[in-house]
Amino acid sequence: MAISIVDAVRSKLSADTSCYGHCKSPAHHHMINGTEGQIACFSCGGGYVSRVVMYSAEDGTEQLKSFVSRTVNGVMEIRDEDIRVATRHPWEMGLEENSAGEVILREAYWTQHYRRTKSDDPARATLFRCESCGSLFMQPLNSAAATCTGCAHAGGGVQ
Amino acid sequence: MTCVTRISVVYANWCPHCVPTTVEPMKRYAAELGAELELIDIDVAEQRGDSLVREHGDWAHDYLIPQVFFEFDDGRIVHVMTGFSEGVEFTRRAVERLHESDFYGKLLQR
Ligand SMILES: [Zn+2]
Ligand SMILES: [Zn+2]
Repeated sequence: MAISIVDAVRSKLSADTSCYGHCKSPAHHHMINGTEGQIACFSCGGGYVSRVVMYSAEDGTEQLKSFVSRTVNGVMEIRDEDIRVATRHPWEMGLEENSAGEVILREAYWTQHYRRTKSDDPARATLFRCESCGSLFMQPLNSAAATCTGCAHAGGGVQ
Repeated sequence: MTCVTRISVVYANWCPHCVPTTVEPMKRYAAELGAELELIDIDVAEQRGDSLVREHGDWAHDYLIPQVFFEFDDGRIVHVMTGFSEGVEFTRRAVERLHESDFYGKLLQR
């Protein structure tokens, strides 16, 4: 294949989506630092992460699961029903002339489970994206700081 | 390549990626290819949908819909599309691109 997976992804799958469950604003696509273009998230202006997506040639479900588990550091349960996978064929990505017709990409998605019930704890641990350094971090849903603690302490946070 | 005898769509009526975005065009594609159209509503025929997705598609505990499969006269079943979590617009475009593809074009020439 002449075009790399990362380029394909950046050009075809990185448009804004809507924030899922949390708010009505758009969620932007951000590649996650240190993942070599393999993992991205969608987060809204409030930093809430609605999805984490892993792009790979093979099924990346297990890798995604362990990445998210490490990221949430055991504070949140990563459940199988929040993980889904999709096979992308060359024609769907507008890349047919660059391929021999096989599968070119698998997307594994993790969806942050945003519940709205009376028993929901407003301070429950939730995954956010730091506005300053782009890393993913956990904080209580209702505290909604824009930056991770590292950036806040460094005074480098965008407040 | 052999010819398509059946297009199977695993879908749900409440899902905008499925109805009308995928189901309506697939009715036309099936007619055009001279294939039977099998609509598998996961709320009605869960087992049939599950087994197709598990064996040939993008299986997960709560898998993405729609998923579309082409069955050929030699018995092969090929996954051709899964809906896009990125948005309905992506799913709509994928349905169109399938129709415009060389892969589809070659099936039409049969
Ligand atoms: Zn939001
Ligand atoms: Zn930070």
